[in-house]
Amino acid sequence: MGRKKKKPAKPWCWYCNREFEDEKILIQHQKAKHFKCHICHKKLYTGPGLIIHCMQVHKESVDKIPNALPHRNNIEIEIYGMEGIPDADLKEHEQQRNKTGGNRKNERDSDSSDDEGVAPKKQKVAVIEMPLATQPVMSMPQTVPTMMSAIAAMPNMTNAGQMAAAAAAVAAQRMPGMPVTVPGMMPGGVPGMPPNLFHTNPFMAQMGAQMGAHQQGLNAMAMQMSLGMNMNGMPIGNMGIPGMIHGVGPGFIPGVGFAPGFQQPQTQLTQQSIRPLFPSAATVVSTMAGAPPISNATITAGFKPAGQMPPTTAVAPRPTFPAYGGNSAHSPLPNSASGGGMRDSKPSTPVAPLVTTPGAGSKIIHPPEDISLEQIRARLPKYRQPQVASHSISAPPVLHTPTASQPPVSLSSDSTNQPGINSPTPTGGNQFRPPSVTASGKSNFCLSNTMLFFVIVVSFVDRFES
Amino acid sequence: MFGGGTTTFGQSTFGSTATPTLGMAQTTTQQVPRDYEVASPPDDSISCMCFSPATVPSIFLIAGSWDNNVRCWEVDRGTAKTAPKSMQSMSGPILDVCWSDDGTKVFMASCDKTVKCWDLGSNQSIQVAQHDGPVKTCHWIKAPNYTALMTSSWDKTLKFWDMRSPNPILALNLPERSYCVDVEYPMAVVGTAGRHIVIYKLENTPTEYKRIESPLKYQHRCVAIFKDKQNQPTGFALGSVEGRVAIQYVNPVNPKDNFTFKCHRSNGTNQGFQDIFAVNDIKFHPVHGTLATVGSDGRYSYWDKDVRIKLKTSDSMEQSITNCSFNGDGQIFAYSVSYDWSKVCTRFMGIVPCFCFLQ
Repeated sequence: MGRKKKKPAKPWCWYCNREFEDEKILIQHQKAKHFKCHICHKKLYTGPGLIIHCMQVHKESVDKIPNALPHRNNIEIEIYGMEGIPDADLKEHEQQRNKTGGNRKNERDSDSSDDEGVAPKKQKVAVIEMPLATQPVMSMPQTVPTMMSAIAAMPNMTNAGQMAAAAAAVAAQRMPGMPVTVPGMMPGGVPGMPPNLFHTNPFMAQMGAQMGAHQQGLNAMAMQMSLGMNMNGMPIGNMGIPGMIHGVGPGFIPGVGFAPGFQQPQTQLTQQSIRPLFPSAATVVSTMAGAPPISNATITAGFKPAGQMPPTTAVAPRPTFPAYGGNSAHSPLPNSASGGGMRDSKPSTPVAPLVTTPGAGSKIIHPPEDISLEQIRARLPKYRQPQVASHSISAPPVLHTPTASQPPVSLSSDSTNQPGINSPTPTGGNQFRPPSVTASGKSNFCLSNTMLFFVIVVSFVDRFES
Repeated sequence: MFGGGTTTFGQSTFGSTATPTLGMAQTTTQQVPRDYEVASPPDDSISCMCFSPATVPSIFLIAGSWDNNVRCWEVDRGTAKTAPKSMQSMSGPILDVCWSDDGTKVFMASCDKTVKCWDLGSNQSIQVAQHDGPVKTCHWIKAPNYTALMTSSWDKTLKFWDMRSPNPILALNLPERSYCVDVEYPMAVVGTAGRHIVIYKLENTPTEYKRIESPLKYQHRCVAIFKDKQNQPTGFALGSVEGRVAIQYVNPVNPKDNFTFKCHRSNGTNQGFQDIFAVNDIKFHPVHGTLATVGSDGRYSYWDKDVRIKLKTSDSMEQSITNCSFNGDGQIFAYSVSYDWSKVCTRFMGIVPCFCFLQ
């Protein structure tokens, strides 16, 4: 644990805490991730530049830098690559780096985890999760048995810790290093657990459902904590915990920076060939990022600050289970998780071909099928049956002859006619109510009360006039 | 919220119904924005409604409902009282109603694939149009050289009827099922499924004038034509299920004249999530050219499309507002609060995730 040992510190992104091999790439990243106009996708050079662009070109005010950590989304600070980073933050980053660096030096060099070796350092959240999943596998074979035992315990598992361990283990299995464990563990632990767990263990249920961001955060925390325990403390001891503690506050929800910052860039990195060592590892890692519940949680949490509406719950489970379930199954969903917030809002599209898909952070209150409400309603049996009661209520003789030439009768001529609109109100009033019941055949269908209002449009007129 | 309708509201100002003028409006201030409930509303949701044309001295309001009936009320401008007048039934839910230009007849389009003409004088109804599918809209067209009833249906046709022949005088094919139509002679706009918009010219023989690429990305739900200063129809407002209205000129002088605006959305207070509601109806004020929109969020709003501002938004009703209508001189605005089926989905969606969850 020397201070500032080997590398002269990689350039890192102030907005999302990611490290890069090269400042050029850092700048590319910033332009693509943080300085891109969400409307026209133009890439600007600095945060303030982006803000000014949005204001002048699109007349939209932007109040924070996209994809940035919550405490780093300041639009005022002008940052370009490594330039402009406040000193305090530079120091903090350095410290953070050293801390984690000590523990993980060997892994970092050896095990792919380019991204994930990197990610952990920059971000507290990431620190917690990634290393746990990967480290043990990579560097410390002995932990495997531990995990195995945890999983063995799964069927009757009752506490979250174990579950978490299992989760981690499963996640770990995806690492290329341990193909063997995969088959063994999956059958044992995975199939059994979802039902049990989710029913018996409220804690887990919550986790699975990924209720609000906050809870989620806590859960994830707890999960990681317990993980740490199960793992015998290991490196986590000194680096993980501090990270977590940080994380609780602003750090945790930062999933934001994490998710987008993390996943996308990965591809960049891989092409960059930073990690020839484990070519496959890179991809696995990326799926991991998407797959394990935690990271998903952070994603959702980050994007919808308080996502606990149906969509969130809907989405969350998906990635969760596939992740456990099988390699093939999970791939589509988790990848998609990289889409960030978008994902959440479209669980509602199970049925129809043409569905209304809402954008991020919103939901269209409309049936998923893309046909009109009237059509949907008209399909209901209640409305489909032709009802025989098609009589005109107040006037007995009805001319049902469509062909009969019926020259329009003018109002004047009929003032003397049968009871109709010109008849005194009382009859009208009488006619009104009862028939409606008989005619519709079912008097009390009433989806609660229908009301008809009218407004004298004074205010409208008034405003307009003035 | 809807305090007793018969109290002291604006008696003095609205007293003389014979010559309503705008001056009156100004003497009454906004302290009395009060909504009056119409007496004896239908049992089931209201699907359509329409005020009698300005040619009729009294004000009548007709509304069609999913309970197969069309009701007619007389609205007293002075006392703000409504009196149920009469009712007609059809053999299927009513999807649209309209008046003849002289206010003597009402046309009722129904899911039973027919349109009937209700002669208010004789209180009799006869069938005047027939489609192969439920008839979504009906509009009365009064042209210098002909009068006709224009009907559109989910059978993807637009038909014109002369009331005498059992066959349409003209039938045009639509690209898709008709969802919303508005007519303002000499222009007709049809919004269909699949986000098509077709504009028709009604002079002489109705012909298709133009198809416009939809300015909206979601299902069309309502359309209303607006006029220019010369009182000629010049464009339309189109509402979609995605809480958005597009103002579209048929022949825009400047492409920037066309724009869309969001409406009927929650304020994002729902856990940071925004609920987006369908725009159920749009109507233009007959005098001022401002427009009213109503939505599944249970609110109605007034807008000025020229200045591009919102003039007013109502409180939220407990249910969706399905329809609205201005009366002939624009002094009364009616809206119907009823269930519009939009929430089917939310319940539905509530189930689906659970299902996935257990898988």
